[in-house]
Amino acid sequence: MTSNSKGRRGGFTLFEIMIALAVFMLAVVGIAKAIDSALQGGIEARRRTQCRQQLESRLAYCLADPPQTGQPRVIEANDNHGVRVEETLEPYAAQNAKGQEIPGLKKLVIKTKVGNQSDSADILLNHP
Amino acid sequence: MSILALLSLSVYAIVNSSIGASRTAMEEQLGTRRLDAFLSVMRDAFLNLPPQGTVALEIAKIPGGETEQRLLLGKVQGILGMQSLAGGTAVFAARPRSDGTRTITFLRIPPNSDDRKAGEALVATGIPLLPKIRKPRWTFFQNGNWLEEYPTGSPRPQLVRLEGDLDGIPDPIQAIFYVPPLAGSQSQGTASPTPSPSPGS
Repeated sequence: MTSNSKGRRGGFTLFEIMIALAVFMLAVVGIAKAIDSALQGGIEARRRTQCRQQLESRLAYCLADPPQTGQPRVIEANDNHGVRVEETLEPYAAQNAKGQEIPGLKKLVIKTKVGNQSDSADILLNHP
Repeated sequence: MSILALLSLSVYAIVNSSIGASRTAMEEQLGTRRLDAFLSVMRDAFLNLPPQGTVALEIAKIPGGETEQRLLLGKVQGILGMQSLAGGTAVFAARPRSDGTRTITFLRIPPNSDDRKAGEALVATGIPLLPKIRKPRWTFFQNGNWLEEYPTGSPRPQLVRLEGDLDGIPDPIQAIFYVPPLAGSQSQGTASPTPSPSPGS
């Protein structure tokens, strides 16, 4: 017993090193995956916000300068910092309490798209 | 031992770059949220502009020799959702910062202020709303044109646009705010009800 312990030198066996390597690799892959999903989530959140902000701005713009009826106005993503915008103005049929058609009523629809995120808004305009 | 050292180095490099990327992403998210909150405040300020409210832009020299763009919303009622701040003029000044960017700062000139009091209010510290904006530019939509100058006394614009770059956000800012028209001066379409985007299509 004494002779065995004297002859053995301190250190790691190859098996121990392999186990340690495997544990390290698992930890690294886990961290990388977690960070990647967090970054992807951040990018999607930014796109969503970008979509909504652009939608609000275009909605404001259309109230002052609406598109022509029946002619969609499209702003391509390349010309608008990656946000595609489509605005349409169509006649809208609605009746008042007496059952008469309300004249000049139109429906404005705005759609925005960034990557795979999209948003839309529609409002009625009294636009004779 | 050398294998372990290499392994440790690679783990350190991966973790370090991951932490750096996370920090960048978090800063970007923070900037986006701050911008979102600012745009919400500004949208509310314009939508709640009373009939007698005015909009103007002035460029003033400030101590230190620099200039400061000031968006003035005159004769407002209740600013930033606080009725206690009733009356007076709301000022959104683009204050210069030491790092070359600017901070859009909210100031208030109380109603019936003389020139001295108004001057004091304009050099006050104010409430910083949007820091680290570069080259902020206000433009005003009137009769189909975007105007860069909008002196006091001009008729109420149809739209107000803010452009600029925000540190930490890759895309430039371009926000358009709707200014409700005065009854009788309205030449374009009217929304009913107040614009409120709905999610999803």
